[in-house]
Amino acid sequence: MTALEIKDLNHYYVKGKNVLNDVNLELEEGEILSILGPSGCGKTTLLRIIAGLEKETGGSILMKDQIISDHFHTVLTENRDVGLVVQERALFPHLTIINNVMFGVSGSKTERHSTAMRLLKLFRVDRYAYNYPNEISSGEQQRVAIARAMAPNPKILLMDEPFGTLDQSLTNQLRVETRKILKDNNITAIIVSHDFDDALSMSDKVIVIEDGTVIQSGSAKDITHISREKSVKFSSIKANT
Amino acid sequence: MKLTFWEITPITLFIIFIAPVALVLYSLTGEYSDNWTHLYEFVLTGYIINTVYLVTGVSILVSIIGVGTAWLITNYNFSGKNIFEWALILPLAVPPYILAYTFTGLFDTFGTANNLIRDVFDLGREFTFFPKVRNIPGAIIVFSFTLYPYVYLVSRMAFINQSRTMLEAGRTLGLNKFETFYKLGVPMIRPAIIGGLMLVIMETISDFGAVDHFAISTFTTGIFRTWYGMYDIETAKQLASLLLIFAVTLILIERYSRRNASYSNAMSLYKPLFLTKLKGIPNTLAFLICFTPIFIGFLLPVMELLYWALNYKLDFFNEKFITTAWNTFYLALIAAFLCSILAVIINFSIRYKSNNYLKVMSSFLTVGYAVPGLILAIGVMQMLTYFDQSFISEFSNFILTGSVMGLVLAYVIKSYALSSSTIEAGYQRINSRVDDVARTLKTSGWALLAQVHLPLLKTSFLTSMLLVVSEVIKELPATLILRPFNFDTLAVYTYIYAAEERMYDAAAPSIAIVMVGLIPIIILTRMIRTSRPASRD
Repeated sequence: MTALEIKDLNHYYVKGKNVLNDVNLELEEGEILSILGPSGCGKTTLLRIIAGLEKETGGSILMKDQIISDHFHTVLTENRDVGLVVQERALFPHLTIINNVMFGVSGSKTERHSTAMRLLKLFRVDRYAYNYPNEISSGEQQRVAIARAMAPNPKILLMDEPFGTLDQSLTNQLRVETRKILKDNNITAIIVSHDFDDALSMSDKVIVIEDGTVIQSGSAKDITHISREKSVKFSSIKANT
Repeated sequence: MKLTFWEITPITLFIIFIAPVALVLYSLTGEYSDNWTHLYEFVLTGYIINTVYLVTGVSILVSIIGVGTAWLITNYNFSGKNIFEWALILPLAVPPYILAYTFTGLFDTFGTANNLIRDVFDLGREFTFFPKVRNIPGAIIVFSFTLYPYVYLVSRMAFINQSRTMLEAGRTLGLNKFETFYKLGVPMIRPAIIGGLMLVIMETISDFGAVDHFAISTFTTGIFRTWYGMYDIETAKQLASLLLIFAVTLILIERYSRRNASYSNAMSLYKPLFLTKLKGIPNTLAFLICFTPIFIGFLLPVMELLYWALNYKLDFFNEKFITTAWNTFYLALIAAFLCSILAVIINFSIRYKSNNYLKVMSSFLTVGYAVPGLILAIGVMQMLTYFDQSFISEFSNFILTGSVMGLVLAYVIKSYALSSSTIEAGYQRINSRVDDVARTLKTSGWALLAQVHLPLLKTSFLTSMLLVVSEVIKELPATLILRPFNFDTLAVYTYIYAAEERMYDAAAPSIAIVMVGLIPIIILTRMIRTSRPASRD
């Protein structure tokens, strides 16, 4: 089943200066997609539009064959059933780790607690359940942020530069762990990154955006075989060639 | 477009906040009575001249004290510097009218200071050592020594941000230390000084208590006399409009001067200043320059008030005092809570809706701070009377006019800027990504505000409450006009006793006002201590 379908999506802040041009993509349930591109190319804007945090100026978005946004109507962020993980983690500093993860979960307190604990165990941070975010390391905070986004069982998990501020060895470890958890739980996910390795190690599909236009798309394997100098110019990819 | 609560509230508040000011200004289009002709021909020039004298004198003295002490504190190490750094803002806790009362008590012919001199040197009753203070120079001293902290605070921050390299460049170009100060240091922070100075001028032109006590005719005393002496509210409003136009002109000048504020701040090249250690006479001079304003603006009035209170009125905690204190505190708390909660709602609306119209509207909501309390009171009174006459008089007597509600409304409009800036600063510390994540976790609107923002804004909310409480407790002219019959606050209590020259009776409420005023000062001093770059000590 198609988890997400984007048709002819356009977006601008100033008329005549599009930040996204005719973006089209399809994502099957359980698939992981990476959106790659240099800073300012429009990839975060695309993610925010999918989350409903911004309204596109043209095109439509469907989730599980239901229109969630087009010219005529828009489903609000809070009703879209998406999870969001950001680079800054944005954990609620006044809540304990367990309360952060329980935050978006519905049901009785016991149910919410057990859901949160299960995810914390999955990400191996359950021993910090009653600590506050500032009492754990940045890697652990990122695990909690992903667990929190997964807790309400969203249709799609959106991750914006999820490992951007972490060191290389921790990033490598988290990539493997996160992919395994996403796959084991059949979670559809979109990862926005400027790091080619994120895409390669975590995704099933990759699209490359430059100046708001999708210039490449395909499986992660396909992308690695395309001549990078020709089409993909951003620095992180160059660093990996 | 369907408007939600988050748009309707700022629009409603905008109308309520602007209406009193608009009503006052509207009076300019009405008829001008004989009283106006009389005022215009015989008195108005006097009001203008006195106000100009006051504003000029206070501006000069405040600039010298505020900028001079800030320069010493940020560039030199001398005896007591660490204490002066925060103690220099203590006079903010003393409203000008209380310093005026204590000054009279101290320096009048038979005041404490003159009596002391006579006793010590065994002089006769006809001998007066200290000159009279109930005049314009006396008022200039009173305003300057209570209001200079506004200039000190902004100058200190601006000097801290000045880079050593710029001042060193001046020294290599042949400037000595003093020339570096007035040719380089001061011009570079000019926008900050003007900003602070505007606040001082606003406070000076809107003051009623001090000038009334010193019997100086200014716009504020003129407005009062026209209303309560001539019973001519229209002319009072027309006078108030002139004062308001003056205040608005000042705001525009201040905004214009801030246009260039960035030129003093070359942070990318920033190198902290080296502190020069002072010894001998320079050390003593620096000590005296910093100690004098604290002594005159804080220690002297507090000592005089304590002297009055303890020697003459040990039973000052009587029933009337307690009732008055209770009136003051509950009014201040209601106003503070309303201001803070409204500031939260407005700032949340701006953030939640990302709407530029709301942002512009919000900046208009803060203009009440610049409107003299007297003008605001006249406008609020007019607005409430209109509501009473139009909607309520058919069913009952006047309900709103002369009620506590008018007073609270005036306080909220006047103090909203304090709350808004505090809450806005609090919001700037909350990453907007927190909101994005919360919304994906199905939390929006009230839930987002209650479950995420309010817990994170707890400290800002309390700070805002404290700032407004201390502001409201000091407020005098609006309270005098809008208070219900037989309803006193500490400020009114002080004013009435002082007007009757019953200074000893005025001591207890004055002390209470100063004590409450100290609370935000303590918060400010903590902030000052933490704002001091470690590398500079």
